[in-house]
Amino acid sequence: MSLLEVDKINSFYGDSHILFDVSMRVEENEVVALLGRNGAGKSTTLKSLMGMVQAKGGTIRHNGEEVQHLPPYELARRGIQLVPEERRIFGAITVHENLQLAAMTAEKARTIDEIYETFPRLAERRRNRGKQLSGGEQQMLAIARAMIRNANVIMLDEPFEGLAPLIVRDLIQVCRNLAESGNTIIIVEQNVRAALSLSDRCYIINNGHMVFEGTPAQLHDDRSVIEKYLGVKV
Amino acid sequence: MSAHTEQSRFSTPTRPQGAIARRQLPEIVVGVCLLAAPFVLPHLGMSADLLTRILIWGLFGLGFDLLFGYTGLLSFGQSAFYGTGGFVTAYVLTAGIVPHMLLALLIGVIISAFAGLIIGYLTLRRTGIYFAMSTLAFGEMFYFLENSLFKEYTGGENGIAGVPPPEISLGFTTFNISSGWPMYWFVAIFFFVGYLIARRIVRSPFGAVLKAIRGNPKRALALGHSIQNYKLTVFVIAAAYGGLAGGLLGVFQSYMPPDAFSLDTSAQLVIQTVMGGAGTLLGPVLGATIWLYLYEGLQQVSNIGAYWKLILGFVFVVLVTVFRHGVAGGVLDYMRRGRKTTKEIDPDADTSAMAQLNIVAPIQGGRSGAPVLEARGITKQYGGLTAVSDVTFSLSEGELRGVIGPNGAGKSTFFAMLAGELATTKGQVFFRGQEITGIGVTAVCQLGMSKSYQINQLFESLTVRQNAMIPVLARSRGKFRADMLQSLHRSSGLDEQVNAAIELVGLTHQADTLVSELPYGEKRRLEIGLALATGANVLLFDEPLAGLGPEERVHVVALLKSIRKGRSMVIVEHDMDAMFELAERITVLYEGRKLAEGTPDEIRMDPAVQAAYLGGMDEHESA
Amino acid sequence: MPSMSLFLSQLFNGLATGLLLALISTGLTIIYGTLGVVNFAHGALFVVGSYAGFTAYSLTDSFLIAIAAGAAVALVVGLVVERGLMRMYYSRPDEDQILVTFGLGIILVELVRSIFGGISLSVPTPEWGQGVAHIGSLIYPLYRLQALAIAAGTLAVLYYVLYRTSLGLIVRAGIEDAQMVNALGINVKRTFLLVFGIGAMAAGYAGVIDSPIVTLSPDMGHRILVDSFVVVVIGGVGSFPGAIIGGIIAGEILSLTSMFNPAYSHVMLFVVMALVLIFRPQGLMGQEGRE
Repeated sequence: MSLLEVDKINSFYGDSHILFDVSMRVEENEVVALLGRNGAGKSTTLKSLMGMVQAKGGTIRHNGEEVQHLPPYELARRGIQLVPEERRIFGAITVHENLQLAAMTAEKARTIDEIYETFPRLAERRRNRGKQLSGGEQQMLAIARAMIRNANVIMLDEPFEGLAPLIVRDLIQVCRNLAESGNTIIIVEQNVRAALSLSDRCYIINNGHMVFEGTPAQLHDDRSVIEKYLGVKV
Repeated sequence: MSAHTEQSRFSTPTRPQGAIARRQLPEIVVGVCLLAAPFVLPHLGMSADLLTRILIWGLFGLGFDLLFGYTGLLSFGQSAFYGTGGFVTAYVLTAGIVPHMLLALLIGVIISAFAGLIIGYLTLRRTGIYFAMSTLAFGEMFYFLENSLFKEYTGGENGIAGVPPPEISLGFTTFNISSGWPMYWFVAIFFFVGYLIARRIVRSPFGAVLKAIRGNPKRALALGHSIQNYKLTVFVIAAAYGGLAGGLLGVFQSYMPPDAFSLDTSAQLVIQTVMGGAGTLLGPVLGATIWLYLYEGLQQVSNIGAYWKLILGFVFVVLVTVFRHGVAGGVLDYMRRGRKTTKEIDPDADTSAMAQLNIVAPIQGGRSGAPVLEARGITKQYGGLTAVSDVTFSLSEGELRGVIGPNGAGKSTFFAMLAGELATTKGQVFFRGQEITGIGVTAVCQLGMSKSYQINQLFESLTVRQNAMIPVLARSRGKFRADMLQSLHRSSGLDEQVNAAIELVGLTHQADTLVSELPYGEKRRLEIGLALATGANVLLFDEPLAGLGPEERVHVVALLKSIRKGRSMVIVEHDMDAMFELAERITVLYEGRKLAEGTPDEIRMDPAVQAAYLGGMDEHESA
Repeated sequence: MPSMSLFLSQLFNGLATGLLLALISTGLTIIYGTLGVVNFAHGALFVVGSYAGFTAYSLTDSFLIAIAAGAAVALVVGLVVERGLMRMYYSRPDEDQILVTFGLGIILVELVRSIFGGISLSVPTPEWGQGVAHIGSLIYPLYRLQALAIAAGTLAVLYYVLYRTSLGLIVRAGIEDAQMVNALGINVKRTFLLVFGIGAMAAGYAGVIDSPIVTLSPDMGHRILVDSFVVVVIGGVGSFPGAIIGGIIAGEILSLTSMFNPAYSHVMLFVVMALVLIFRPQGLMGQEGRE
């Protein structure tokens, strides 16, 4: 039994049909990459898993139980955690308060001190309000919020977008550490190289349809797939 | 002149007698009811005075319904105009300044319309909740002014007593209108005329724009209408109706009470309109009937009399919760369901007239070969963040350009600047040689460029035909015209354009269906259709294929190809297959800059573009 | 030219009125910031609280119990209204919410009227509040000073709750991004229910505090509603500091203007509101473009 099983879900924004019979699975301790051009439906998939977008038709199973009808806060309490594309850290409250808020309903929360050890930069900025942080610091905080909850599935939506290469390098290391300490991660990224370097398996989604499943090695070998669905060669 | 126009000039639709009667049915019914009331309603216990009062509230409500029911502006301060009109009329009559009662009423209307202009200007700077709160506050302000600054004119707490009963002198004879039934007829005439005017307004081009504002103000703005002007105008009209009603109140009672200015009065108007059904014009008069009948009726029942307002409160809350459209609305909904169709046929619309969809003629004097749409080194910075950096873009006449780029490339910001929606930090945007940098969607639309949105921005509670009419109205009338007394379907010219636009996007079979009932794919077509109907010769499409299934994508791609004649287009899309099929040239944005530009083949082969999309899968990753 | 002692006395009056208004308006603005509901029944809750307090006071002779009763009744009414009615309205347009809360306001006021009648009632000042205080050369009614202190103290408590407790943290984050709070495992809707109750309670509580200073009538709710709207427009919707600043400004305008001409005090208030609408439509502390 996989930790997370998605079976033919169809997701909508209003009546706009975004995902068509999308299926995927995530095993415990795996890192799975979800790739595709923007607009393909990657974010929508993660948001469906987080209950923020209604997945009509199809099922989502977490540890064998059906969860597709649960509201976000219940999914979070089960240990599913989304680090959203826009980061969505709370600008009006401090770094410390952001972490306190995140830890509130986590059963086996890590301590804030542990987080500050992992992210010394955040420790320095603990009294700054969210909107005073740089892009990279905000991304760190967003990831830290998921970490403090000790989530069993961490979903990262384009964590490296819009960040300078040096910061991206640091964040890749953070993700690698997360993966190595046994966390289960789903990563959505347009930076294909970074995503593949971290992942055990990958999926490709195109125009709302799942079109590829395999390992990074398999993907490397099949240039036509890369060019057709990720690049611009048609 | 083209053959089509010749044809249309001679094809003025002949409307059968039956259709005219059907069109005017509400007016006829209302007229008959007003005539019959004095003979029928007294048997139900309604006196002449009660009916007169109901009609005064109904008249007050006609203006308010135009404001709230049709335009969606919930004002809690209409008593300001009711009181102003009433007191000005009463003062002018009692002080002997103007002996003619009709002239006094007119002066009251003019002054309250003027007050409406000022208050409207101040309160319409915000919308929704802020608007409701500030109208409530200004209404109260007038209440306080009555008892302070203007006390010597208004009598303060006492009001103005001794307003002379109306008399109309026709030179050779004078009509004295005494209380009772003569007064009822007197007021009924005003109500009927007021109703006729309101009906005309509702069925005018002006009225169509009001409904669009209620449905989707942002889209109405983007389709070329200056909505602030429309809002202010209807606010003034509502104030005028209020002023007339107030003036009649003073004449009717021979006394002008200060509580005409109170919040209770504004509230009563709102409650009556909602109970009776907003957006029907007759809602207020129905609601007034319920309110006043309930009040008088319950007084007879000894125990309950004192609790009538409590009962009313319950009735009101139940109605708002369950019957969203009030009594009149509920009746209309029931009738519509009885017809078992979701079609809303507009009896006046000419469904057969068809002409080529007019495209805005390009401004004369531009050099041929000069770019149609041009961005010169545009940059957008937000604080420390640069979203778009120094992009130069040039679209030729008749070209179909694609814009692609990975996430975060700055496409939406770029597109918004190109469309004149967003001001640039640096650089300028030109449309046929004229600078349009940040001039706003309305002005750009009037110049001949329009955008279709990624998320459908339609008027959900109107039909497809009514939707398409909105941009056509802006094209033919400019961004504002106060043509509230003209009929919408007076000339077939507008209908021709509407039909042509609907036909172009293949929605003729759904022309009279409410947009809310359309499947998503058809809504998407209408989204494109609205941009087309503006007559734009330059069209911007923001992800036109968003949310469409595979078959629908094919259809919309075919649609986009079919509308190219005479138009230049820019399309932002993620669907690469579609993009490569459609575009003649493609511009690639990456991290806010222009990375490459060329034919689809050139772009396909460009290693830098590949690298950008694949995030450095190849060795050529930039550090 | 008014005398110094009159000026000082009016200054204090303005502060007392202002802080009470701030308390009421805080309730209104927090309800709006979290739930997006403009509570047109807010004035009615003030009335309900006042009358509940009056009843408790007549029965027990303890003003403290009266305060507790007024707050409790308003809280319960708030919770019942939210659970029973408002939850049906969250997906409906703003106008509908305004209309239904307005209707509720009428029902509440009429219930009060039917129980207590329409004649004005007066609430006697509690013994510990009777008499005068000496502030320098100024002689000022003791209870008004205490009311000022109570209002200030309550606002301080609200500040503490908002900025130093978990609940307050949820509210502050929720005003900014309720969906994200949800995604972090917190059932925001349940929290917001509590917020509605607290907002209602603030109005009722203020009603009791204010009652010895004014005469009670079922119609006094209208004035409170209008004044709190003006405060929120001036201060900025959804802002706690805005409600306090707006409240104090409004209180002082009312009070100081009435030194010169009482009839114009409210007019002056509306003039200031008009100026804010012209020059800074989002309010003094409000965020640009937030409707």
